[in-house]
Amino acid sequence: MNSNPYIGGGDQRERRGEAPCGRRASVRRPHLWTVYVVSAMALVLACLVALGSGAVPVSWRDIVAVLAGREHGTTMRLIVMQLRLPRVCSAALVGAGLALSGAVLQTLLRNPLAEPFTLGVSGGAGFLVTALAAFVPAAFALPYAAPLAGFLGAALAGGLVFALAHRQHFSNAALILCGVILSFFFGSLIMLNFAFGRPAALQSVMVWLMGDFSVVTPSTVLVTGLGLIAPLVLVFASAQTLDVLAIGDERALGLGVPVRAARRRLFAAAALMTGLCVANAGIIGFVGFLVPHLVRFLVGARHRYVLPLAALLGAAFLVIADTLARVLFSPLELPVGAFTGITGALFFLAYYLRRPRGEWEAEAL
Amino acid sequence: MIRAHQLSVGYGKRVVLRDLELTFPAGECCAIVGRNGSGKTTLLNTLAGLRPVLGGTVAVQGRPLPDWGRPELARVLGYLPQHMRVMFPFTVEEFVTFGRLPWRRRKENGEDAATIDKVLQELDLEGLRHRPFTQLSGGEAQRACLAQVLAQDPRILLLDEPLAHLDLLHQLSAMRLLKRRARQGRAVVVVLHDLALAWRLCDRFLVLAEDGARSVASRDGAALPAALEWAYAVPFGYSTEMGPLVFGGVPPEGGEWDENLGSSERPS
Repeated sequence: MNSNPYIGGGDQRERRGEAPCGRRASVRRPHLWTVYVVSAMALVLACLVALGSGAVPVSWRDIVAVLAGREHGTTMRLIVMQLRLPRVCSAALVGAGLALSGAVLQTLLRNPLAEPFTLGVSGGAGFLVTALAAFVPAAFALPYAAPLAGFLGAALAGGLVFALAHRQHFSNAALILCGVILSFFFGSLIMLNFAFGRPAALQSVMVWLMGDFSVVTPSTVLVTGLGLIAPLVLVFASAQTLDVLAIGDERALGLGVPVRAARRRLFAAAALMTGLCVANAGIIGFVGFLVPHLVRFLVGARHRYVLPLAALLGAAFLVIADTLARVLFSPLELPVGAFTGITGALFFLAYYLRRPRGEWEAEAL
Repeated sequence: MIRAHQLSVGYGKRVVLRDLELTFPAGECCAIVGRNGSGKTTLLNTLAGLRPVLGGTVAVQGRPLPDWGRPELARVLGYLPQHMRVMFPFTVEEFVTFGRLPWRRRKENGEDAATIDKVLQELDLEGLRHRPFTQLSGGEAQRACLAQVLAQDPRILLLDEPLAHLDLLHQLSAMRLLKRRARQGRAVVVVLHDLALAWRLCDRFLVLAEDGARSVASRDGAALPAALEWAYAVPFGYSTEMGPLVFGGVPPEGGEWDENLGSSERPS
């Protein structure tokens, strides 16, 4: 009677064949487990290469022997266990932490361009650590002072962004604006610390500020690792909440999620992770921004898939970056933050220049 | 059902609507219409418990709104915002699945997978099931949003402009869906700009204007155009086949509507 399947409730499959629905093919994502296994293997491989390369090359067999507890008292054991292993662990932890923090912040702000760095959180950490090194060098020399100061600075900056953006209900514009303002503010304060602090202590802080793993010790790795446990557990347990927060606060509230409490908790977790990372290795850009993007491209947006992969790939990425920064111009060692910044920028420049001219015109207008 | 008593809504200290007496019973479709800024969205927000009331009370299923816990309320009341900006590539299926969140670990509302399949089919989204939300057109995205609220399967549906970007066929099929939900004993409250659509879909109009609100039956050929004229300051007629109709063409530059037109000269 009624030939229109919409109104008459007829066979919908019939219509779908001719409808313009198929004008864009559905995304084909690689198989989940393949992505995870390859990423995990990449991380293990990166760690082994990192442990083996440097001024004194160590063969894989020797690395395995040292890790297995043999080779007591040799120089090789000293190099691997005391110098390289803490550094590799630190790079892996920081990479995972920054990538997770970036993924969480991008979701909380519903802004794919967000990362810890753009929100002024890293700036706050950098400010407090430089202030400590500049004006209280005795306290800075204590083993847990830098991570603690970094964390407190991140909490300070994060709290400031939080309080300022709260007035505008955490709108994207408000958060980004507050972040930019605080970045400038803390950047200036860091400069002031350099200008008026004691030069001797500040030279090492300068390198640290550009992102540097050369100062890590087993104790800082332990502190970072322990500190990351709580936010890591919280973030992984909040995968479903993050999914719903990503589609908007109104809808999330309507679906029964206690939005304000969840946002507060997750923001605190992200700030804690960032603070620990910055305290450990200084300010390392691009990891927290780039890795979550890559991950969403590979496995989609659901956080139960995104979060573990972001941690894995963030860790692998930073271990590789640190190894290259260490080895590429040996004996000169590049600060890893400068290295990730330059390679990241070049990567995006290449991507940008490969786009046909004017492709984004319609979107920009 | 939702009942409001002496309800005042607005932003901060600015009251947009005051002293409303409203009832949205189960089994009824009600359209909220009015001019831009007349408080349609504010009212819907407030009824959904997303905005504090500025005065009076709202009762959902006979129980005051503040007494409801959020997860509990989410199983009874579903609210669809006017704009949903999703920047992340969730697939349509994943996106619709979020609507099942309030029923997590509860079997009383049927199996999640079956509900989602049914809703996807009802809104003609099966072919888009694995498409990232970020690649959808405006109308497709809106259907996905509607599907999410329908997957939530609440007793009360509060929808803000759910049909605005849909093409005609999808508008009609979505309306059929909402009507069916109402017949199944749900209360459906829809903010709409398109009066013809509102008239087709709804049993009742809640017409909002600066000095209050009027509730009229949509098939009341006298009261409905009168209420619309009151709200829009535009002459309305009424047709039993087409519903409320605006008289005349575009008003002349700087001129007024022809005074001869209006509710006094309605076609029979």
